[in-house]
Formats: sequence, structure tokens, C-alpha cells
Amino acid sequence: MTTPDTTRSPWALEAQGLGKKYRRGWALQDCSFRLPAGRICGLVGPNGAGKSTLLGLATRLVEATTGELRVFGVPVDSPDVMPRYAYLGQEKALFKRFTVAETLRMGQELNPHWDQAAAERIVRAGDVPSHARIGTLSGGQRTRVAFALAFGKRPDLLLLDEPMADLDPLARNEMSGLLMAEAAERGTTVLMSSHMLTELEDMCDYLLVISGGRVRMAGETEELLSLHKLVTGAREESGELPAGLAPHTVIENRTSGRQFTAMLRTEGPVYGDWQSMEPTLEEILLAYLRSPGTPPLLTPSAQCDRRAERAA
Amino acid sequence: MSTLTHAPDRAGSRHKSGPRPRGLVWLMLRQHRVMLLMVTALTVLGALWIVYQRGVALDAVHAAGWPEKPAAELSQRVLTPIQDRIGTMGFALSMLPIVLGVFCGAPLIAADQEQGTAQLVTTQSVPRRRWLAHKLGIGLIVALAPTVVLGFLHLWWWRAVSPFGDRNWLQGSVFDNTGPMLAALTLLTVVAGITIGLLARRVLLAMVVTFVFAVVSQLAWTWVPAMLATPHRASYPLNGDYPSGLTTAVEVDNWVSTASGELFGFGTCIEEKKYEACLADKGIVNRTIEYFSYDQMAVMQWTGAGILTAVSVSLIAFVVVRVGRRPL
Repeated sequence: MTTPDTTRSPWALEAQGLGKKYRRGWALQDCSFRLPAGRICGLVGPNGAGKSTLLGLATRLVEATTGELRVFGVPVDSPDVMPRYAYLGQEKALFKRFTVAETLRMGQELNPHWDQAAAERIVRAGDVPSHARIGTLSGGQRTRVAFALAFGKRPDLLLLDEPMADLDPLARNEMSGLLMAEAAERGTTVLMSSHMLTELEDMCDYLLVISGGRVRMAGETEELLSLHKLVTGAREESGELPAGLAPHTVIENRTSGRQFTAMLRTEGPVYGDWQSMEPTLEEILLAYLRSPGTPPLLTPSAQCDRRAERAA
Repeated sequence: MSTLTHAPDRAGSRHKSGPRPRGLVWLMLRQHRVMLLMVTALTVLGALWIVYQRGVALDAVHAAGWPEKPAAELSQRVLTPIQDRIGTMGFALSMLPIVLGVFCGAPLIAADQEQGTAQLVTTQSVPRRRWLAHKLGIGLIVALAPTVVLGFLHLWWWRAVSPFGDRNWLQGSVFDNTGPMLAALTLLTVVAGITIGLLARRVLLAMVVTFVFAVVSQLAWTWVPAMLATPHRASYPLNGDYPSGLTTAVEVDNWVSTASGELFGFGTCIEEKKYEACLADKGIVNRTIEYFSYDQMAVMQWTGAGILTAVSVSLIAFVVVRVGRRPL
């Protein structure tokens, strides 16, 4: 195990000025955020937003060009970090010629805190025969074995890259149930990416939105919801939004006929002759993605500014 | 916490009967099981074949009356098959560097990169450098185990039958496939295959490039052995017998020469009508030959093997540094 100080770090992930430049340009740029330990966090963004790059940086499969990333307070390039996270890649690579039992044996051989009983339980719950070769399994079964390998490692942080992407609805339901149960049992922090919010919405209590290589929104889903209002009302003659909305940040404003519909980041109560609704998470997300100029929103728990902290 | 500490113990106790491979060693043995079995089979069968054929050859010459009768007087019916068989083996062994480089070296890391298993293993609790060290270990075993065994057995066979035919040990079929040379050539192509695979990240591409590299390097190498030592020089009378001490030597050049040692081309005067007069006019009385003596063979082979190994080691260093610096 790592030193007691780092095991008690309240942050599963801390990024400070994190950036990755490939030959074709920046995949991730100037990312600073925090993910508090114990959260189930959805990493959402359009295709090519930099989600896989971020997960790659956290697993050292990608090397940062700028900035630093810490896992439970330990710099990600320290070997002490390795036993603390488990990673499940997009393609869920496993040795195709290994049997299920041999795959778990590999987990046991390569991980110091391996929990064979937990891994076997996950495999058995899906009726996956342990003598079957990985290459002969269905997509759902293979994902289950990959999950077993990830959970058998007993990670404190579980990183999942599009875990549900290639699963049918039944397997998807089964896997998310498994994920929630296992994570809840051990208080595992989960960071999972998807380009579809609906895929993650039910599971996540935290959200990290990336678009164009930058963090657009991060924080508790409840808090993100409570910070926004969807306001509908009659349009002013000038076409401008009513002056009464001025204290609030307008994320997006759409007009149809004589009506306007605006997504607001509220700064206090919204008064006026308008219909005000609680937006869904999806509506908020879409508003942010459609308006790249909007300043990013990070709730206090997601803000990472070490310099400010050191100064204080 | 109790489940955490107990589970691995229980799992561990199942494996306490006798020393079993653990950790990455287990993974390497399991992942490369088929390759290791094939290489082992190749080594064992090749070794048995050499021992058997050497015995057959010696039985044949003994039956024909050797050593009472000198080797030169044995019938070609006895000698030809002996030379044919060791010649075939030499050819088969000369394929080993290419075959092992293409089929074992090239996919060793490229296959893991292509199938994503490199990422799978290096996101367990195993640093990439340790994984790489074990991969290179497998590469070295596959390159060296069969070639060291077969190379030295082939040398042992060749030494036994060389009195009955071609004694030219500098030709590729003997020099490159006996003693340390076979292992050194194979090490180079296998390590080159691993390096090419690491850079190509695709199995098929790596295999094709490694094949081309192996063939080209084998061809280029044919120029090198004669440069690995300084040949001796000896002179003998123009009309005298070839010096008897040099029957095991390999002649690399010859001239006609004067008593003072001035050299003329081998064909000097041969087209003159007055051949004798031409020779007398130039003062040519000797033949001079340049040759490698048999005791230089081992020196030259070890020197050559040393050079190839140095190249291989620098390639390994490149791979280690690259994997250390850049993710797979």
C-alpha cells in the first residue's frame, strides 16, 4: 500500500493544467478539475472530445504534454499508483486464447491485492463457464470477465472507457447493476466515459463534461441541476432577452415565433413573468455543448487550484 | 479489510505444491506456450537428427575401411551422401535466423500492441519496463536456446565429417551455421524483429519488414567473415606440391611470385607461347597463397558473433529506452 497520507486523500483524481498534444493538435488542453473520492462520475462529451485521452493519462497509457495529474494525491507516474486503479478500455482487450480461469489467474499473478473470490463471484453470476476460452464468449460475457478482472484488482478508482458501448440493452442493464453493486460495496470511485449522457445518467452522482479538449462542466449532478433554470416567455420587441434576466448567465437562448427559451445559470432566484422549469441534465449538457463560448462551470468540489491553496 | 487480506492467501495456498512460475513469468509461459513448445520440439528433433546423422556418416566410412584406408581413397558412393546430408542441414539451419526472427521476434510485442493486451497487462500492477524485461527474456530464450544447441552440435558433426569432403569452413553454410555464429545471427534477427514490431505496432507489417531485414542482413553478412582476421601467406616452389600442412586451411587468394617475394597475378605468362621463358624473364619461381588456417576458424567465429551481439545489444537498449519513455 501507499503511505497513509495518500490513502486518505479526499480526491480520487486531481488535474492541474493537464494537456496532451498529438501531432494533429491538442487533444486535451489546460484541464484543471478534481474528482472527490467515492463518487460515481460520468465523463461525458462528444466523440473526439478528449475523454479517452484523459482516461489514458490517468492510466499512464498516454503521457501528458503539460500539467500534472494525481491519483489519490500520488503523481500518476509513480508505480505506487498502479495497484490503486483498474482500467477497462474501450475494446476490452483480453487474451483470446486464455480461458476465463486463466484470465483471472493472470489478475491474481499481476496484482498484489487480488481478490479471487470477488472475481469468481462476478464471473459465476453471469453463468460464464470458467473453462471457456475468451475468444468463444459473447460480447456481454467478455465484458463481464473484463469487469471481474477489474474488480478483482480491488481498485480504489475504476476507470471505464465507454463500458457499455457495444452491449445489447439486456447486458447493459446487467453490467450497470453489477457496477453499481460492486462500487457501492467498497466505496470505489468510478470514472466512466460515454458520448451518451442517457447511458450514464441513472448511475452517476457526479459529472465531468469535456468538449473540444477542455473541461466545460464538472460537479455533483444535483448541484448542476439546481444551478440551472429553463425559462420560457414572450420575446421583447428588440429581440433581446428581458432585462430581468440580466443577473443570470445565459447559456443558450433560442427563439421561436414570439417566444424565447433560455437556459440560465442562476445567480439567485429568478423573478419575472416567465415560465421557469427545472431542466433535465441532458438539456443542460446540450446547451453547454451547443454554446462553446460559455464560461465553464465547476462546482466548488470540482475546482482544483493548488496555487491558490498553497497561497492560502 | 479482512476479506482483502485473506482472499489472496487462500488463493496463494493452492499453488504451494512445488515451485510454480509466478507473476509475469507465469504470464509469459502461458501466453507464449505454443511458441515455446514449437521451439523446444525444433531443438530436440534437430539435435537428435544431428546426433543420428553423424553416427550414420561415421558408420559408413568405418564400413568402407576408414581410417586404415585414407579418406581420399574412399569411393564417392560413400562420400557423396555424407556431404549431401550435412549440406542439407547447413541449409536448414541457415533458415533459422529468418524463421525465428519473422515468426517469434516480430510478433512478440507487436501482437500485444495490436490486440490491446499490452495495455491490459501494463494497467495491472505491472510497470511497462518489467513487462518488457520479461518479453525480452522470452525473445532471448527463443533466439538462443535452439541455435546454441544446434550450432554447436552442427560444428561437432562438421568436424567429424570434414575430412571426407569439402574442408572450406569459410563458406556460409559452415561458418554461419556452426558454433556461436548461428546463435549470433539469430539473436540479431529476433531482436531486430522485436524492434521492428515495437515501431510497426502491426503483426503482419512487422513480419514482412523483418523478413526483408533478415534476408538483406544475411546477404550483407556474406562479405564480412573474410574480413574478421588477417590471412596468413605462404610460398612454395612453382612446380612443387601444395604444402601438406595447409590441407585444413582455406585459401582466399593466390599469385605467382619471384624469389624476392614480388607478386604477379595468378595467370601471368599463361597465354605466352614461351611460357618458361616468360617466367624466367620475370624471375617467377614460386607460388604464393593467402589463407586462413584452421585454428583461425574459432577466433573468426567468436569475433563475428561478438560484432553481431554488440549490434543486438544496442537494439535492445533502444527498445528499453523507447518503452521507458513512451507509452506502448
